[in-house]
Parts: sequence; structure tokens; C-alpha cells
Amino acid sequence: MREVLLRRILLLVPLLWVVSTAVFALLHLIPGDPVDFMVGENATLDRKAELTAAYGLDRPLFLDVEALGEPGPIGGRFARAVTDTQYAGFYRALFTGELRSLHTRRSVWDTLGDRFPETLRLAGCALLVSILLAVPLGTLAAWRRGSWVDQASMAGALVGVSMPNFWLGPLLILVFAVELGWLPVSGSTAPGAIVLPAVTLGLGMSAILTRITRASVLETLHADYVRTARAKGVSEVGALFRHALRAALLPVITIVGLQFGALLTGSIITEEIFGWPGIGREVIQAIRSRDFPMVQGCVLLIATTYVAVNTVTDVAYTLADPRVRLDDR
Amino acid sequence: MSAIRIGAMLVVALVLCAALAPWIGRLDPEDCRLAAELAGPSRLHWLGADADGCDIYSRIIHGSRISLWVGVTVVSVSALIGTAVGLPSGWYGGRPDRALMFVLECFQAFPGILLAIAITALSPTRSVGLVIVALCVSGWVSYARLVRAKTLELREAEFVTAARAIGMGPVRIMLRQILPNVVPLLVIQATFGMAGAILAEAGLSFLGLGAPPGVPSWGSMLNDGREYMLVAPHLSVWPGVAIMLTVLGFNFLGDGLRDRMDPRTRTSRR
Repeated sequence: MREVLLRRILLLVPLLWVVSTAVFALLHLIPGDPVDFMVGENATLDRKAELTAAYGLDRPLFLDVEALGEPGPIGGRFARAVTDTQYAGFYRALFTGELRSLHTRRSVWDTLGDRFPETLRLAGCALLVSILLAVPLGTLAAWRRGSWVDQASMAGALVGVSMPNFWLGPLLILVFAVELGWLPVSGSTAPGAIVLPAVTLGLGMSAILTRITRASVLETLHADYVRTARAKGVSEVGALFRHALRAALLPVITIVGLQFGALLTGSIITEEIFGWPGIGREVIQAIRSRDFPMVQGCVLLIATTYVAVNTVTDVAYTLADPRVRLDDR
Repeated sequence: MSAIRIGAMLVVALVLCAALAPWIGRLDPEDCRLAAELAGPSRLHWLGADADGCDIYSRIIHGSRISLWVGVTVVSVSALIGTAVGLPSGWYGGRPDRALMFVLECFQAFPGILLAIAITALSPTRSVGLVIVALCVSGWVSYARLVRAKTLELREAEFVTAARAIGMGPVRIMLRQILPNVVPLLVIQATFGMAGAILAEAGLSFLGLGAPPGVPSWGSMLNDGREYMLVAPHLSVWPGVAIMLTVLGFNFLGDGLRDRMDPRTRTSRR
């Protein structure tokens, strides 16, 4: 058990190494000259030379073969051949914060430090919206199984899953911001500005959660201990809340964790629609303006968060339910 | 009416739209008249016209071809790769299997849509083909996982032991004994995969990274409509309805199929 957990956590190291190497390689996978890609073919030669020097694009990619051939002890030669490359330079820039935006010259980590909390705030609120919607609805649907409440909420859940957030968002803006004027169209500072993006992001997840809650509550409602509670004279409502619901919420919590990564991904488009100053909008803007270091920073941060959330969920799941075997999935 | 039936109806309607587009599309989606710019619904333009004066109804009908094409190619290529990798990996196990699991982990470190955004954004040109490639890069992973897990489970089944005992070779066992038992799961996954791929294509096109300008993709139509949200909301409403009904159709169908093939996961009636 402990070994399995340890292996899962140790796996993070090679995983993040591969991820960061892929992010480094991105720039060189583009057809054509990377400098042309970043500043355009018509940029001045000075600007191009400056960029080439700044990124060490004139250096070898992974291994400096010339340095290997120089005189001196083999260890020193090898060290020089490996460190004086673009690949090593990329990691140096990552760890020293010298990875800078092409346009603002600001350190990528500083910008992301501003943006990331905004994304977390949005994702957190979306999570809240979906839980507040899904748990009561799913419980009610299970309690009154087969009734119109049940059927309506199940149909609604499927519709919710199928609703693209890039359509729902503009519709919500149209109704609540433009027609009714209750909430701001975009931005993050005005009061209530978070409501529309959070609902847009949270609705899809609440649809999934509603179904899980319903299935889970249905299962516990038929469990022996709930029947025992009923036999002892506990009221219907008491049996539901005190006995069934409590046990039913464990799988729901797991799904919340598993879906949090999806929430981060969904925030890319949602932030773009609402002009929310998070990491999702940043990555889209960086892609549009070909701000490559910024793209690298964003992708690396999103992937790292994603991996971290998945690992934490896996570990929590194993701790909560020892029957789960991590290595076999 | 059962979920499976509603889903099947919506999917059949989509296929009919795509197959009969030249006949039921009425107007040529490429033939746009600026005079009709942002026109509301009329006898000529049933759902109105967009900012270039293109007929929205015929663009939506023709857009079904793009969605269906992307969905079918992405799902079949992904499922094929996933099966080709997952089957031997689950069967033989050992080091190659561990290596595959690590590769899968690496691919899953990137959220699928982020990978697709990165791939399409780096390309100097926009094309539907590129979208398909981008979605396959992250798409095959879940099929490989599914097939591998099921193969791992079936490897120990009695009918496989029996097949081995009568001298069947590993390749034949994989293809004749194991694969048929994996197919139902693949079909369910592929149905949900259609919904996912169509949604992803629309999302990429919405960001301007998918279909090139002029091609009637539902996502691009939504993107074009954003600017005119205030003066002409009908530009955004109808493509969205089309996407939603299509995705809903595949989700309903997948749900219904899952209930029918695997009663244990049944959610509708327990």
C-alpha cells in the first residue's frame, strides 16, 4: 500500500521531466525558423539577432559535439557539452525566472503569479455552483425516484453535459448582462462579475455530479443499515439525511476531485469569453500574439497543475478505498 | 421515450442532414450576398443571414458534414490506434506494458483540449485535417487504456485458457477471442467520443484555430456571431442549437447503449 503510493508520487518526477521536455520541443516542432515564427519574417535583422542570442537559438539543441572534441579532462568536456545547449538553457531560464514574455519583457512566472489565483478563484466558485446545484437535485431525484422531478433532473443533466460552454457563456451574457442588465458583461473586478463565468463553467460539471449523487444515494437508500434505521422508527427524512446521504457523498467527493482537472481545462474557453484575467485567457492571447515563452510557461503550469490534481485524487482515492489498485488501471 | 431512441433519432437526423446537404441546404453556403447582411428570418433566409450575407440555414445544414467528418475520422483513427496498442500491451504485459502505461500518463498530463490548441495554433495554416490530427493525438489514449484494461481482465478468463489449451496462437486469441469481447465497450466509448470530438472541433473553430475562414463550421459560425451578439443574436443561437442537439444525440445514444450492454452501471432505473 505504502509502496504503491510512493511509486505514484515518484512517478511525478519522470512525468514532469517529459512534460517540460515536450514544452521545450514545441518551439522546434514548428515548421520553419522559430525566430520568424515569433516576430515575423519582416522584423529587423537586429531584432532577430537579439532574439537568437536571448534564446541561445544559435546553440546546439541537446549536445555540443564541438565541446566534446576540445582538449581537457573528459568529465569537464562532457559537462560543457551538455550545459551549453538550448535544452539546458531552457531549464536555467525556468528555474531562475529568466523566462520572459516577448512583448512585455516581464518574467513569465510573475505574470502567471498574477493570473493563476484568478483561475483558481473561478474554478473554485464554479465548483461551489455545481455542488450546490447537484447535491440537492441528485438527492431529490433519488428520493423521489421515477417522479417528474427525477426525470426532469436526469434529462436536464444530459442537456447540461451537452451544452458547450462557448455557447452557454454568450447566451448568459445576452440574457443577464445585456437584456436584464443584472450582471457585468465581462471583467473580474465589478461586483458579481464572477457569477456568469462561474455558472458557465460549473453547469457542465453539475450535470455530471447530479447523476453521480442520484446513483449513489439510490444505492445507500437500499442498504441494510438504512433499512435498519427505518425499522427502528427513524423518519423517512431522518433516514435520508442522517444515514443515506452521509454515506452517499463519498463517491461524489471523489468525482469532484477527478473533475477538477476538467474544470481547469474548461476555464480556457470560459475565461476567453468573459475576459477573465486568468491563465486560460493568457495562454490564448500568448498563442495569438506568438509570445512563445509565455505559451511555454502557461502550458507547463497547466500541465503541472493537472498532473498534481490527478495524483492527489489518485492517492486520496487509494487511502479512502484500499480495494482500488493504482497500478492496474 | 427511452434515451436510446431519442439519441438514435438525433444521430440519424444529423446523418441525413450531412448526406442530403446539397438538396435540403436550399442555398449555396458559399454564395453570399452582402445585401442580405445580418438579415432576420425571411422566406429566402429561413434562419436569417450572417454578417457576410450568407444564409445561416444552409450553412448549418452543410456544417453537419464537417462535424460528422471530424467525429467519424477522429473516433475511428483513435479507436484503431488504441486497440492496436492496448491489445498486445494487455496480453503480453511486462516491461513493454509498463512503458506504454508511462507513455499514456505523459499524454494525459496535458489536458486534451490544451494539446489540440497548441498543435493547431503552431501551424501556419488552418485546416480541418489539422484539427483531426490534433484531436487524434490526445484521443487514442482513452481507447488504449480501455482495451488494455479489458484485455488484462480477459487474459485470465476460462474461455481464453481453453483456446490456449487447444493450441491457438496468441495473435488469433487476441483477435478472435478477446477483441469481440472488447468491441461492445469500444462502441460505447466511441459514441461518447463522437460527442467529444464534435464538441472539441467546434471549440477549436470558436477560438479561430479550427476550420479556415469561409468553411461552414458550427464553431466558426459561433465565433463570427460573437461580434454581433447585440444587434443580431440569431447568428449565435442557431449554430449553438445545432451543436447541442448533435452532442445531446450522441450522449443519449451512448448512455442508452451503456445501460443496455452493461446493466450494472445503469443509471436510469435501478
